[in-house]
Amino acid sequence: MNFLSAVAVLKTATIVPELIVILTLVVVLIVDLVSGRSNRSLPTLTNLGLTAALGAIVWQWLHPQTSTLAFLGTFDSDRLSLVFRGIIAFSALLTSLISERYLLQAGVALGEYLVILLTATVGGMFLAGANEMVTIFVSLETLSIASYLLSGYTKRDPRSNEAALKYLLIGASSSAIFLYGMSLLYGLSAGETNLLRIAAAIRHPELAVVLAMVFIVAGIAFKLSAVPFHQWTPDVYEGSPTPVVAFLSVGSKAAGFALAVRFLVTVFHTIEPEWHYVFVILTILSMVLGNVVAIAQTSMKRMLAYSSIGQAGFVMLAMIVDTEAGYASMIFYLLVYLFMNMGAFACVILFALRTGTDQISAYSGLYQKDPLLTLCLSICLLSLGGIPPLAGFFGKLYIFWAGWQAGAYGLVILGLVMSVVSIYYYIRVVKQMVVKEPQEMSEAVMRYPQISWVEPGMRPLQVAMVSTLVITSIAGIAANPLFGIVNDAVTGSRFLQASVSPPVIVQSLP
Amino acid sequence: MELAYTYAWLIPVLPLVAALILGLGLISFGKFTSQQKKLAALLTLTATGAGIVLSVALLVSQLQGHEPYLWTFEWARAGDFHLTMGIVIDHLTAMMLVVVTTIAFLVQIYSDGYMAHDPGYVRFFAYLSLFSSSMLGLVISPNIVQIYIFWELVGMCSYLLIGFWYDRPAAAHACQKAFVTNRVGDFGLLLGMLGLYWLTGSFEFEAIGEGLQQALENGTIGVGLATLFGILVFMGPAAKSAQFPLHVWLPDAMEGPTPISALIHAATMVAAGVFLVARMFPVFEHLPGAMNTIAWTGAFTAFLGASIAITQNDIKKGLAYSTVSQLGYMMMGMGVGAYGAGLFHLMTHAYFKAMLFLNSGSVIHGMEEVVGHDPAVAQDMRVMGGLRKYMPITAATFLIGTLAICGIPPLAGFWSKDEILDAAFQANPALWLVGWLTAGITAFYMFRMYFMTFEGEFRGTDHHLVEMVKRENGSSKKEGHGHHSHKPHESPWTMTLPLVTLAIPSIFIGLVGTPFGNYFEAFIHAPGEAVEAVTGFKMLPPKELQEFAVMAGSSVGIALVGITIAILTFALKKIDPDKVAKTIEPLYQLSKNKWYFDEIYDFLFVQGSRRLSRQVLEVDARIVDGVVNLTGLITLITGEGLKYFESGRAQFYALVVFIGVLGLVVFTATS
Repeated sequence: MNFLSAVAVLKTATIVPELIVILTLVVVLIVDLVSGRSNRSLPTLTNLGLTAALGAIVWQWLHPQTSTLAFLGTFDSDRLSLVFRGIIAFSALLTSLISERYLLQAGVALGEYLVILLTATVGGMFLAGANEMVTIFVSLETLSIASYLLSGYTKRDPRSNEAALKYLLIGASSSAIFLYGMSLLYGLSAGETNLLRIAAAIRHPELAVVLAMVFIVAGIAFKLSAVPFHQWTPDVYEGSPTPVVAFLSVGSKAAGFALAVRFLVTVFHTIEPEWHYVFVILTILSMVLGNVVAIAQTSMKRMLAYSSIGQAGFVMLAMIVDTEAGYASMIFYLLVYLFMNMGAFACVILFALRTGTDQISAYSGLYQKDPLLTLCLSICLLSLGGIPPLAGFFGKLYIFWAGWQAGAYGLVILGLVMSVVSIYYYIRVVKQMVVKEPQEMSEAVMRYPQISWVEPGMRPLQVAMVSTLVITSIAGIAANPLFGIVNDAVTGSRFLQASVSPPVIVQSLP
Repeated sequence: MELAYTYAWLIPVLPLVAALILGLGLISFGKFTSQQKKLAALLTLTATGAGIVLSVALLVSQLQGHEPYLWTFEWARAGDFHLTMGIVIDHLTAMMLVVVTTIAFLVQIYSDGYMAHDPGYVRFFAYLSLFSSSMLGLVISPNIVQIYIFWELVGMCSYLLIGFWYDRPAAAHACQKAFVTNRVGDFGLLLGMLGLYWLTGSFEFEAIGEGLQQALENGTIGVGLATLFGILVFMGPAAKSAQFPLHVWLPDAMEGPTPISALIHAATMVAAGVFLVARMFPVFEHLPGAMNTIAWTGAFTAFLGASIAITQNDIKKGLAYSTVSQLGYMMMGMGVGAYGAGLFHLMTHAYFKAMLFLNSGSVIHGMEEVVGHDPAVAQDMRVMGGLRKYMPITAATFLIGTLAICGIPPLAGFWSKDEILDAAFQANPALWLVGWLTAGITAFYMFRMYFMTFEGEFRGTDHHLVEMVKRENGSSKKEGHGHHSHKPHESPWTMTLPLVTLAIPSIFIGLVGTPFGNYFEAFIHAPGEAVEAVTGFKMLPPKELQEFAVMAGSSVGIALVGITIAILTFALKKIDPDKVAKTIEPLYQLSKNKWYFDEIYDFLFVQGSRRLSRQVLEVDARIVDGVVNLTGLITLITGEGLKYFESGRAQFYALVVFIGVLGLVVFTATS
């Protein structure tokens, strides 16, 4: 078999986006090596590469293939995986935009950082389409190991070191559990690794299958930072460089959700009540603990860490509804979450760059010194809290509506109560920022430097901030294109079609 | 001409872009932007000017018999529920577009002069653009939902502009009053809108009308229920067009800058109520009960407004009550089914009332030179007088406006008012009588205003009088600074040019709707109504001519009576107004105190709701807060407590992971 026919048989065209990212990675590595430390074109290269990858994803979306399975069934490039790969690539792009200035100010090298970030992106993107256990594990570990490295990237900062070590240790434990679950499946299905074949082989629900399911859910829940597998989150988020946290809270989580949907729906449809049950517990715990503990936080990054646990709870709620509307609302929420959370982190980074702190109390009176930052952060936080007419409101509304339609009344009511709790801590920050009295202004804000965007790396940060601000503001009101995308993603993915029952026609919000 | 339709969406979008540029500029580079006065004015004027060009093109095309143009897109969709947004260009829209854009354009020119020294100049233009955009969006709306959205937007702009000088307590109160009063009406509108949707399953005007007609014929819904929804819908227009009992906000709205009073609170936004009734005409025409309500509300409001306007001393308040009264005429016309007449009066009134308000602004501008920047004095007609000598252009145009509103032929107001009265007479002579009497009062108070302001001796230098007026109006401003001269001056050309320009339509626009050749009604008539084309001016058949002569003669007659009394009282001083006031003291006080509406509402609603709120507050403070605080306390305690599970020890974390897995296994396996 020569090379070209192998390309054709394996349908290599399906992974063009990933190939572009890998190419970018190599180019960045080589350019960094050849041109030395002072090269300023690396972020631009990365951004171009990621944009090209996004373009390839869009192209694939517009030209759907009849058969989406590639690489002998190990990789599925259906619409669901395309959306998730898009989310991951987009989050990497935004992360790269908001990183440059941060890293320059922290005085660390850019080249390796971008290479590791791109590696994590490749891992996440493969994970979103992986349909076979070995591929899943390799992509998951690619993503994880790259994440450990990223969180320890500012190596002179002891907190960053601590974060990386903790992340590594807990990650290793959960990987072990995940691997154990997969080994059980391998045995139960008499030596199959392909998810579809495993599903065909384990028709009889037995205790061992449930056990495997719990182990696998535990492994995935670590990526989603669902309670009680969340404990690493606050420590890692607090210690890691902030752009990395932004990536972990969006890109890495999206990859986790893609994996969860594909794995659970494909393999465990025979024990559907059980995996629903496990996820109900995780959802309740995440929503309650994430939102309640966030109230008591004094550091912005920790607050956002807990808030991301709570947000993951809402997304899981959409997932366990297990209807077309549920999955559609889940993807919709992840799409808007991508922008509002990235926007919030971009603002936190900018504030930290200008004042050197991320204590919530330091934000007092920011409105008088930097209205743009205040506006952007307020919009993103209010959207996360679900205040109409911002994008987050429509996302939550869609989730709760889907849940209500499917009869998950208790969960929806709990979700509503918890979103009210979440509004409390989000609005607290907004209130701090817009206080009128000058004497209430914090020390950090009083010493606020003159606003300037000319330093290297500031422009990308500004671009990221303003674009997320605009999208967060209008994505809810003009949501019909997004609804079209998420509905196509759900109706265009075969494995979801096979599982969800009965089909509910959902076009958009009530 | 097709090009104009293709770009029709630009008409509301251009002012919006201007507003956005100015607004964003003010947010990001406040100091810099607020100094760019000329640029801001230029931007706004360009946007509106382009709107005029497009609107006129559309009007011409519609006049030549172009099909109505409809362009929609789907905004939201759920199952079989579709919500579309878009643009409709038909005869009514084309007329409204021209009226709104031209008046907005002139008012913007005028504002450049009027607001020249105001520090909020750029902010004013940003709001003005935003308003123009919302108002234009309202008139091109193809369905009631889109109208509602823009309805609220114009309401918001009105709020912002009334409260433009937010550091004046009176303005701050007035804008809240306007907002709250409009909320009452809008709540009714929303309920009625949803009710009609529930009955007919549509938000399109024609479709609601047809659905309603069918349902009424089939007997699936009662007439009573449908009428109730109709009246609920009418609450929206009643509030926006300042109809009784929701008229109270409009006079207070005069706290805003005068150009705003002219544009929003005389010509365009307050006419939106009439416009909505016209749009909803296919619905209302099936509901005689609702039509009667509209007609009588209009008639009563017309009389109410006029009766209060007699005794007002504030020139802007007087004009405001006059607006209330004239809007009443329009509503009355709508209510008796005179669709074309009501809208005709809307158009003529828009031009001459905008001019009158701009006149009053010019007068105030001149008075401020003498008595200082104190609205309590500068707007009071008792300290004016004799201004014709100092401000000839303003006086001449004011006189034109006065004659127009009094209904003196051949000025604009005569034709439109006469048409309404004619229709009212055919529907119900009692309505006509109210309207006819009101016409007489209108003539009286308008000429009272003219004489007090422009004729006689100038009284602004009389310190005793000024002090007295100050005391009476409760002004605390100290005299001494701000006035440099002893006589008022004519306003700059940017202010007089719009006045002169507006005088032209005030005189001539009525000629498009004479009974001898009613081009207006041939162009704008109720959907479904058959109107023969007009080929040119022709004599009426003798019988109709006689009828017209009687109707017109009687209304001109009563107007002349009103004018005569005004001349006798205020020009020749043959009648002493104080003595007359003494003899009919209760009536005088009733009018002077605006029929005590503010006091009654204050007692009923404000105090009532305060009492209620205090009681609710008790419940809230004791019981609800207790529960909430308890929840908060529990949440905080759990939050603080759970925090300590975050010990930072990695071994412990790993332990929790394994315990979690174990727990899940146990739970799942045993469940």
